[in-house]
Amino acid sequence: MLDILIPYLPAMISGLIVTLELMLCSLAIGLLLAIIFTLISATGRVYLKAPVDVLVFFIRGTPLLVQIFIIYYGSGQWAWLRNSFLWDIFRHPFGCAAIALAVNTAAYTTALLTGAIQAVPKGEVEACEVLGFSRWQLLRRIIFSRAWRMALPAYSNEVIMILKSTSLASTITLLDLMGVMRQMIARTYEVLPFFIMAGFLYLILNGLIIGVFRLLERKYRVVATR
Amino acid sequence: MEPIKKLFISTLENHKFNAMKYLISFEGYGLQLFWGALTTISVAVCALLLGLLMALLGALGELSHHRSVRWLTLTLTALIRGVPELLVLFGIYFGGSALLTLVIGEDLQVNAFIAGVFALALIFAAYGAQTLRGSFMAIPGGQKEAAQALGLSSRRTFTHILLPQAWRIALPGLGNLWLVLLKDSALISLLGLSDLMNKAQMAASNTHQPFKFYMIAALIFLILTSLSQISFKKLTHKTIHA
Repeated sequence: MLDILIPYLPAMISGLIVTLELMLCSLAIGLLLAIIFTLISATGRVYLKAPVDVLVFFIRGTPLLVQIFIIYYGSGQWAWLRNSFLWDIFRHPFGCAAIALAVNTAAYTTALLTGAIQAVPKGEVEACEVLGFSRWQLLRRIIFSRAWRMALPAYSNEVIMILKSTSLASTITLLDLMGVMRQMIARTYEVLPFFIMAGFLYLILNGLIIGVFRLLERKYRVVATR
Repeated sequence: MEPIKKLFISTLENHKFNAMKYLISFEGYGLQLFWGALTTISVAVCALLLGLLMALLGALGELSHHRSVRWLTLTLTALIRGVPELLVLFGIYFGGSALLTLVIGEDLQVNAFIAGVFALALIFAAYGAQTLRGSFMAIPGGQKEAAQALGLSSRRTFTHILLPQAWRIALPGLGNLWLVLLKDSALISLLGLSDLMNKAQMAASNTHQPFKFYMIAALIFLILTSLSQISFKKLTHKTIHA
């Protein structure tokens, strides 16, 4: 049964690469956004915090598929967007999927980081203030390093969620692993071998992510306290 | 009398017309979107009920005394949790049809509604089994022993002692899984079911206003998830204080 797959191996590998690119791109942008959002929330200014809260509420309350469609199909409705330099990003399914996934993971990671920062013991912060740490030193040395360790195990779940969510990009014609598989199925009318292969590849990627996080947790000596 | 009657009828018709106009607003797609939302809700609720049953079976399987049963359920749930939701959905719909055709020998197509419900239930159960297993394990062993000492049969011990307590512990976790399920139900439009997403897609392409109609779909989902969150909070409060 599996010999049907052999001629399509190069296409599958290119799909796999697109999936990985999409995942890493959106995770990098998403993590950056999440840190910015968390810092904004930490300032405690309502006019800064409210827009972030509304965005997080919207993202977490709506399906990712709708968000992807809003960005990919919805962006074409605005003439000013079509005429601006941003259209180079919004025109391509990869750009739209990356934006949707990045904002999505940013919203979930913000909640994660906020929780971790609130869990940093007050005494440690006070001790640093007594020792005369600057605000930046306090953030970098104590709050971020503690919060990073606390959030790491939960963040691995987020990364796996994003890997699985990249498959939705196939609905806006991106030829990621899922997209390639759907194309192959449409071409050959062979359903089962391609789905089994796709599932197998996603499971391998999952295993790799879990392995990387095990290593990271060992490196940063994360102790499971929960 | 005649002019008054005429006036009465005309106002009634006017009113009727306004009501109709109101119902079919959103450029005439209001009713369609409403029916679509109903389809989405019914798929999600059916999947929830089936998923709860399957999650319970999964939890019992994971807690089974037989190593083979334990191993089988653990592998199955890990497999489902490891692959994209879209793949599970397509696997059930297209793969199920291919399997049926292979087994029976005729060209068969699995019903999209049933395939959607089953796939969503399976995903719910793969996570729910873990939640339920955890809450069964959180019940002190003394509870079971006490029930045995009182002479309760093992079936009654399960339905009257263990299940109600496990349910209470699992409720917040299951609530979150329901939200995930509700959001995943947007995927069934890809099977061609005329759900909320499908209707929004139709309206978007006919009116050339994709942003507006996908935004409306998103807001309807937002209302549904917010309502679920509020009612889950109330339910949790009630069960804990019952």
